[in-house]
Amino acid sequence: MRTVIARLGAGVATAGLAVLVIGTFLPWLRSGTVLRDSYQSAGALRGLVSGLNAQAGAVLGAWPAVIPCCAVCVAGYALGLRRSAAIVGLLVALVVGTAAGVIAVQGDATKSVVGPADTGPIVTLVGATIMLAGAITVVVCPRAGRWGGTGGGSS
Amino acid sequence: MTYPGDEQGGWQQQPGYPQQQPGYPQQGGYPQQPAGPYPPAGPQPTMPYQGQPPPFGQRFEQLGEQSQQPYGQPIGSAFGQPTGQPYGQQPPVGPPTYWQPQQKPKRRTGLIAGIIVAVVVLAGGGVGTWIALNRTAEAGSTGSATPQAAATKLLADLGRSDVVGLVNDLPPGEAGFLRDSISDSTSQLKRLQIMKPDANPEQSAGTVHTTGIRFDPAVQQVNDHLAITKLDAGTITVDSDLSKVGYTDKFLKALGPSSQLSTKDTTLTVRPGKPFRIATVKVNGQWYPSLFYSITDYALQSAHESWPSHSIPATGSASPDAAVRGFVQALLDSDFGKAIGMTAPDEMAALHDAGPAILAAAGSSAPSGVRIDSVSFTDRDVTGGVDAVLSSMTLDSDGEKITVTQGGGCYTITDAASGQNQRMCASDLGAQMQQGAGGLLPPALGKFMQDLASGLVNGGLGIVTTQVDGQWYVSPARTFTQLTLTVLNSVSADDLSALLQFGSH
Repeated sequence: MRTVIARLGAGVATAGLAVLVIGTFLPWLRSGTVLRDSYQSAGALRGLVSGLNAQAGAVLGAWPAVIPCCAVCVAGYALGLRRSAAIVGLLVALVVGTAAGVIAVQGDATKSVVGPADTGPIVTLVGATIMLAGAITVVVCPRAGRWGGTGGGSS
Repeated sequence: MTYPGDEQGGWQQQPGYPQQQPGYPQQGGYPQQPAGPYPPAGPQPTMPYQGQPPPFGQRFEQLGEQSQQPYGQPIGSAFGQPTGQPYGQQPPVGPPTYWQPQQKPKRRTGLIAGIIVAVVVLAGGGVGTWIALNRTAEAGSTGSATPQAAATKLLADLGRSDVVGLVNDLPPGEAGFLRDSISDSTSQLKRLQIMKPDANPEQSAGTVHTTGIRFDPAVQQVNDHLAITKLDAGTITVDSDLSKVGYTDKFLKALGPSSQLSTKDTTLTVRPGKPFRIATVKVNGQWYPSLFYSITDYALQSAHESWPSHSIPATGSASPDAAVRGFVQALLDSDFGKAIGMTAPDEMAALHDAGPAILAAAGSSAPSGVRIDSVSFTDRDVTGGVDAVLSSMTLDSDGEKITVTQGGGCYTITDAASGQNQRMCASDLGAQMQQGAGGLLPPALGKFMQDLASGLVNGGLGIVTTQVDGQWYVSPARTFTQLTLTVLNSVSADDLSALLQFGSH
């Protein structure tokens, strides 16, 4: 039963992760009539922000690392390293979800020349929430005993 | 196996006793257990005695299976000997025969499938990362391969009202200056309640529409790093709506009736024979449309001057104070060429290139004969540079020395020869401003004047320097911005309201 719950959690987390990654490729920034996804936004804003706030510039520079982190997470689930994958997934979901949430609550700035776009952040936030739920399920699901059990987590 | 004595003349094997194992003492009367062919008594590994652990993930399963075997069940032969073997009779010693449990065929399908999925996902992740990095780099890339491409990109971004793209279009030095200036000014304008707290400075750009844009294929190459592109056809329309900028209602009300603030279009139509010139500069191998170069180009065109064939080389200093001292001394000496050379080569590159033409137009002036004897500054960090604020300075003019010091809210000028002092304090300056207005100012505006004077004198006036390639240069543009900020910082929101009310009457 524990294995089933853990596997279910891993499946939910993987589905959330897929939604999260798709969301990062949807519009995040509106500048005039131009819409930019999260990676284009990070690249375009990095030069502007880094001169004013080095930390924000560093965060924007590290943004493309979202994808390899997600890939490692899914690979971990596939290899049965569910707990390790879940912990990586938790971190990714928290960081990316927070960023998406902060932008999503500002709303779609259709009336201004430059502002956030709704679609990308909201989809990403939904993905991060699903991923978070799945990862928490995996983490809190107790390990099976070492002897005689089939094991709920393998890491 | 060899035995001591067989071939070496040692003791002889005792008949009826089990074979002696080398290196082990004989345990009287009992057959010594052979080392090899024992089945393990407890849970057994899958591959006994080979030193190879079972594959990860199957270990516990194997152990579990073994532990379920009935206790005491004969496994082959106990202790490696067939039951009923006569005492003392040993089977012929040969290669050890290991105990082999009955194994269930291992199912590795899940593991293999997991590995395949993991590899596919990691490969997909690699591709995704490559795509993401490309998109990031492409969006963050600045500059173009040719002058025309740079100008075309500028107009394309203008046509899409892409402010983010526009800022990245400009040369790094200019973009940095504009970014810092807008950011600092916006903070002050929000504090003074001119702009709303949530106003975004980029919103003030308005929208630009372009139609029928066409460039002259011939680019005027001025030198290796400056080229003028010519827009010879097209229309550029700028829509500006102040109500969308982010100004506060109070400020907009003070500006005038709302009807005057409605959308106002400004249209620029390029007429045949009068091209719209966009200056582009080459920085780090990339071409950028330059705001400062374009302004300078129009200034030269208006004065019927052409770009000089050579530029004034940049002359940096070792410290911000040295840069300011050298710059001020050059101005006192009327050596404007040297002064231009001491300005920042990135922000003021247009000034360096146009310098010879400006100097030729300005003509020559006689030096003032005043020499800076000593000077000290209070350096304070500002966005993008260091503001060198004057603390004291002694000037020498043909042996006559005067010293200017700043402190205690006053500027003091001391004549070294006579020892006479002349003080000008913030309160004096405010009173003089009000007297100059003839006593017509309302009290609230008088406070504005007083606050302004106090801010300027107490804060001190400085010259902003920036560091480029390890050398310090004077930045006239940032100095002007800093002076504006000092003025804005000196007054309060109430002061500004009083000024706006006074202006609206």
